[in-house]
Amino acid sequence: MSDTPPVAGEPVAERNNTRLYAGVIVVEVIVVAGIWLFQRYFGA
Amino acid sequence: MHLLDWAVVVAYLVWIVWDGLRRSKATHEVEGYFLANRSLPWWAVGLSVMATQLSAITLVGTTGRGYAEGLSVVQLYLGLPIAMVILSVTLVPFFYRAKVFTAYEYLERRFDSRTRTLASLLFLFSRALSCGVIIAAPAVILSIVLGWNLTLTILGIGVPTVLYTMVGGVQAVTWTDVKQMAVIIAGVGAAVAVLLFQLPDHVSVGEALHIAGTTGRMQALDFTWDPNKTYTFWSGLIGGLFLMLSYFGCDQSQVQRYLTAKSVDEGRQSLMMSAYFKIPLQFLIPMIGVLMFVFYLFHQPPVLFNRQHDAQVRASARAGEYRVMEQEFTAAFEARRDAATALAAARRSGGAAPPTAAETAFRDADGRVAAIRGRATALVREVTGDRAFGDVNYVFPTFVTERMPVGLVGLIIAAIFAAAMSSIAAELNSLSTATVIDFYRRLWRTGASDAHYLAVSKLVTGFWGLVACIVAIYATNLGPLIDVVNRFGSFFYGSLLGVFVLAAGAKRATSRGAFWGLLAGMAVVALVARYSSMAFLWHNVVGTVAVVSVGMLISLLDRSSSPKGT
Repeated sequence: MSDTPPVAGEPVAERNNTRLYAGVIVVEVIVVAGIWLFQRYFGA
Repeated sequence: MHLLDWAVVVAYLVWIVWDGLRRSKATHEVEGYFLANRSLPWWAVGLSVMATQLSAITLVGTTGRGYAEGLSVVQLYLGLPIAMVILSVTLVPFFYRAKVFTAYEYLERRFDSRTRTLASLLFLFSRALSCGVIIAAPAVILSIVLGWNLTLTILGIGVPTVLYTMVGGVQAVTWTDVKQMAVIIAGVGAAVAVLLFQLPDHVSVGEALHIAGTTGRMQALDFTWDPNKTYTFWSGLIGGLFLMLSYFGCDQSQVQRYLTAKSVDEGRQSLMMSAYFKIPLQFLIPMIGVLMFVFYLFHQPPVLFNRQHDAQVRASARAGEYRVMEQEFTAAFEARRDAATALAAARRSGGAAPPTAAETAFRDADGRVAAIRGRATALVREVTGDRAFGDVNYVFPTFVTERMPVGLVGLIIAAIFAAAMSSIAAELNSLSTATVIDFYRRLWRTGASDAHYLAVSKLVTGFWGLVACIVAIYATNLGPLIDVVNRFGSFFYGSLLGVFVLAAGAKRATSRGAFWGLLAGMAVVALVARYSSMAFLWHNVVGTVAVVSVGMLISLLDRSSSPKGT
């Protein structure tokens, strides 16, 4: 195990994850809307 | 328990321990032991992230809360998907590229050794306590419901976990988490299926949910703005966002999960799994409780689900009073059952118009049952002196052991073990990481060989396992201990997030500002908790804001410390 601190910020080829993140937000909105409709239908 | 159920539980334990121990073949250096040489696929890491967060307390407590109150607890997780996106953009790539072992290593690079030491110490203290509670809570409940010896139950959960974690390191933790997540999902699925199948013939699933809805149990989302209410849409979205940012971004037990991924993108994808699936899963778990409520409308429940306290009251001087309550309870249950049946029939025949009279009659009948349970609970508190007594944590285990088919009882007991063990294993591994990397290698024994640090890492894992088991054995009064752990967690999480916000987002923040800001943040949260009735989720926001505010103020005033570069 080296004592030399590794270099931070080395360039790494990474994907553009914008669509992934947008998908998460869209799915959350749909799920929460679904829960809201569920409680409207079955709630008091 | 039936022999078949024992066989299922024993088979699960043997399988998990064997799988964990065989992972030691891939662990020859410290980087392999703690970070799996950054080689794990995103889906395994993602399941490990979920398993680490889903403890037995969630499985047993949330189902009980669903039984007693309904689905509102799902709001706790509303901020999670947003937190995962923010972390994927910010801290995940940063930690991964920095090639740190612990999140707190970064704090020394950015600020100073003192800040790193303080943050890591707070993590060690809070995680060691919570590890003990995660073992103790299901052990107490299972020992009471099944009649097992408490100490042996604690050791039955703790010892196998310590064994495979100590020997196999993070490879063992992750790959056993994958299997344990499968067992948990199978157990949750089995519980839902049995509950649905056991509905009376004259009550459909839809009618059952409508009946539960009559009592407010289907009110999952509460849009009122009330900072004193525990679970609302806003406390979950905003307070929960801060909690999840801190837990998944600054708590070593979760940070270490995604540091084991093959690449930054796979680390991000692992968090996205929780982002997609956590809310639906956490909707399903309290739904089990709601379905148990419906089940017990048509099958008489015990007056009290905690059999130990039930026996204590029966043996006390007030046993006669308790017997009268039982008779009243039986009569009230029968009236409620008839009202529920009538409500279901009224819905079937009434068309679109809600059967208001039948709903009112059912709510009144349910209120009478709840009132008798309230009196019985008060009686228990007086007889036993346990002022914190409440039996909602015993509802699910009681239902499982008394009402589920043979074989599936074993599966769900195994799922409870799996939920506990998966959380404990990750915590033990991260406790060892922080101890060795943040303290032992840095402050006690520098420049030793990798083989030395590997041996020490395994011993330290065993040490923390021993501490957790001791904490669990002596956590006889669970209520206050869980309160202490939760309160400390709320001081810690928000404040720690504040330090990382200063570190990553405020170039002018100084070491002195970060250190004293962290302490100030915890002090502010302590004052808020003591002198206000603000719900605990908001404490995370308070802590973060306090740390950033005080930290920046001190930094601006501090002319002698120059901020280190990021």
